[in-house]
Amino acid sequence: MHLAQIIQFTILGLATAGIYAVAASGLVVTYQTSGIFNFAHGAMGMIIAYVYWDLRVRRHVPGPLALVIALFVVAPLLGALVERLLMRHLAGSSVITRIVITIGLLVGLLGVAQVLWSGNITPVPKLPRFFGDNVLRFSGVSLPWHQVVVLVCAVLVAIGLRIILKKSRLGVAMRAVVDDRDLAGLNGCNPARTSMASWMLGSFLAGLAGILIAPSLGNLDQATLTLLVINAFAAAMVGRLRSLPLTFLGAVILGLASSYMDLIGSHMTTIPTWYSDVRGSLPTILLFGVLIFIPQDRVRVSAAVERLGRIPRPSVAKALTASAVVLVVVVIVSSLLTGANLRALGLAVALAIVMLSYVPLTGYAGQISLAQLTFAGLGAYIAVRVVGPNGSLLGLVVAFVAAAIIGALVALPALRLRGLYLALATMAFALVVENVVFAGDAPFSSDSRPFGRPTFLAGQHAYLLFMTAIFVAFGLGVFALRRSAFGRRLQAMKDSPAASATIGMNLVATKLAVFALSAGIAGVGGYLLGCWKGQAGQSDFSLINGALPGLAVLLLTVVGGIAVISGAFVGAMFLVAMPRLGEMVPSLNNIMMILPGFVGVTLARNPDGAVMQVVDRFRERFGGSATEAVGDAPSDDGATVEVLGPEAFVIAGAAPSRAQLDALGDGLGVTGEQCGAVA
Amino acid sequence: MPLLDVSDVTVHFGGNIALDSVALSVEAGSVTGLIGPNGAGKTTTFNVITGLQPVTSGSVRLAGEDMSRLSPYKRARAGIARTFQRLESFGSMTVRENVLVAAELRRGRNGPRPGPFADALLERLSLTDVAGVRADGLPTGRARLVEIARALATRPKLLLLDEPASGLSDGESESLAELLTELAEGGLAILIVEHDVPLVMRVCHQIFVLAFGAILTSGSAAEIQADTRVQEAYLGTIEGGG
Repeated sequence: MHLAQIIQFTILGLATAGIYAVAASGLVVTYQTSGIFNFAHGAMGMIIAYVYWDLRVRRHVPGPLALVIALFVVAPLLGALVERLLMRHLAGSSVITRIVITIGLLVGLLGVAQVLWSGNITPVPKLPRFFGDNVLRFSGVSLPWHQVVVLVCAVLVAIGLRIILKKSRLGVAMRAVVDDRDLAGLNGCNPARTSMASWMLGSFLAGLAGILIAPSLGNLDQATLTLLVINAFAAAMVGRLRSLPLTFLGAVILGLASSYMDLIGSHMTTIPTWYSDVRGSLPTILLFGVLIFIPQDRVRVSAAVERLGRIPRPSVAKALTASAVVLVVVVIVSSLLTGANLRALGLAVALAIVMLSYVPLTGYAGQISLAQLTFAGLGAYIAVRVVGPNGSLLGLVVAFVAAAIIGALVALPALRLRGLYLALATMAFALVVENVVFAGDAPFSSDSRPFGRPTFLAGQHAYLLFMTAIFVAFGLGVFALRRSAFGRRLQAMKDSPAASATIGMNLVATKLAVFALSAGIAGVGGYLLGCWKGQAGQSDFSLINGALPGLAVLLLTVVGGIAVISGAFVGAMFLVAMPRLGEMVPSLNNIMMILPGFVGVTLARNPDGAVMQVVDRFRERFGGSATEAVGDAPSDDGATVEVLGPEAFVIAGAAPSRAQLDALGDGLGVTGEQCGAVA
Repeated sequence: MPLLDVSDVTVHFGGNIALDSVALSVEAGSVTGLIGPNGAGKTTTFNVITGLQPVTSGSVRLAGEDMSRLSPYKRARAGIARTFQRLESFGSMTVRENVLVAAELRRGRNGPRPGPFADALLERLSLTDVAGVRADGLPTGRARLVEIARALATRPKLLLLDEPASGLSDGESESLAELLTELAEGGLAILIVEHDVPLVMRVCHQIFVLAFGAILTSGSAAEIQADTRVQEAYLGTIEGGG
């Protein structure tokens, strides 16, 4: 290794660090002023990079002008829009709502990008480097001018942010709003305007990072570009989402580590798989590491009062009726369906099981995981490796046990983490598993690992019924859990960890148990999904890529109602029906791509989920006490049978009428006595 | 030997000293008061005893056994229960469930069945009428009683009450005083932080005064009331009835 080479890789590493620093500082700025961690930061950067490409390459706008429009017009506008339409309404909302809103934005923006810039778009999206391939040479070191631009940008951002935050009125106002929004308002600063300014600034920084990083991709790809900016999360965590200097330090560590690994790799004759795996996942590994080792708050008396969600508690009769209804409906509906529609229904049932795994974990226990679809994928992958491609019921057991063990192992280091930090840690885990395990197995990575079914379940209808029976069984299990001592413990832990500990609850054991249980349920769902499709793999279980990514799975579970068993079923039907509807009615395709993300956005107003809202409306309309209203309406069950299947959504369009939803919510039996029903 | 023995406990928050060599003890079958101005370290002391706050140095013993290294839930199982100044009830659960979940965690081989035990506690604290109500829908005074019922459901040896009378009406305050006396007569050790000084003076057998993180003095109600240092610490508020 020559000195010149080391210097060169150091400078290249610093250039990478520059991009991470720009992206991460945008995250920190918005988190600081609004208290919202923007999971959509990467997607915003991606959109702005595409806008720049569209202007410059596709529409031949001169480079500097395109840059000014993208960064100084479109980016701030996007930021302002996001703040005005979404973030402003989130004050006082729960952590899960805050997280899921920006995930909805991420999914929605990916959909928008797909509508605007996908298919056979010409020319192939590809951003040139600044100054082309010209290289700056000095004393044996050759450095692309693009990297020089990146470094200069990073330095300018650092200086600019320092001036804005420390010297300007806006900066003082931003810091005041963070400390106490209401107090700052009383003292003559306008919190809404300050918050909007910070989102405009954050969007600008995301866009700058997106434009700087895009050329390194070769051809642009929406999900990859989004993920590249997500890599900056690790740097922001080094700064604990507070300190900009530490965030820059985190970016430098990340950039240099990546670059030096490249340098060492360039001297290896053969690069071992693990080495390239680690190199590829370095940002996510660092993110996980930082989260684990960052000093965290202990279990403590909760500082902020947030709105506690409702957890419905249906009666035994209602739960049994709902189970029977689900079974009968699936039987009837599936007998009417063939081909792609039947496949979609089966997919929905399998996903409903994965989504059901969120009910005890997040709905009851308040633990936020972005990795449930990853657990599903791990369950499927391990089960198919153990029992082989010929179907066996043993596969279900293997999937449950393997996913449960891995779930507990993930929970172990994450035990101290709560809320946002837990969400980020599980996201890092999901990305690493996807890049290393799923991508590392040849048939699995190309979605072509064969999954077989036992001969007596070979028929489509038989297998669909089998999956539905398993959903119903798990649903009843979760229902029983809700009524058990363990269920009460989960709910207590969610409401107040400090009080739970002081009445003698072992929080560690409780968390491990619920993580293992829910990962196990997800694992079974994943294996069933594989067996239903016959061939499955990475893109079926991916966090961001693929037709039904993990983020959308979480999103639609929350939309259905995270603490509602039937919410998982409804959410899965929506999730599968939307793209299917787009396929069937091409004129709706664009709407269907954007819709999943933007239904999530409605959560700010309706955090208990669609099913609960429908139930509430039903009660309001039909008056009387809650239980009476429910008790008076059993005759509606007959109508329910006809609207329950996905074809109902197909017929009714993406937004089923309220009457249909009313019947749906009621038929699924969520309308039992609720703990929230105050006499 | 006192049931609870806190000796020489020091807690640093960064550079600040929150508690400075605090020592206090609580006898079984008695009510002990811990009073002092705001910010004196009363709640921190409770957090230390229950294990929510690690100590910089010093020890906490319950019936002679060292609790200092135990996590909060193990201390709870050893017999320490508490309520919180800022309410920490399980807001999304009903009042009965709040008490039941605690009773279930303490179900022993010979213990009472959790359901009837919880119902008996609700009865005793006059909460039966709100048993099915969501806990975050209660007014503060009754929510404090729910926390007491929940703490008692763990069948503790030592009960720590953090300002249990704040938010209570005079009548409720009166019945709280009676309840505390009864509980102590039943053998329970009670340590109470309370700003309602007349209540403290009435029910407490022994009172510790905390100021600026250190124990200023201790003694019987009469002794404390006569102590000029205590009056200074409170800037004379004791004279005015607290």
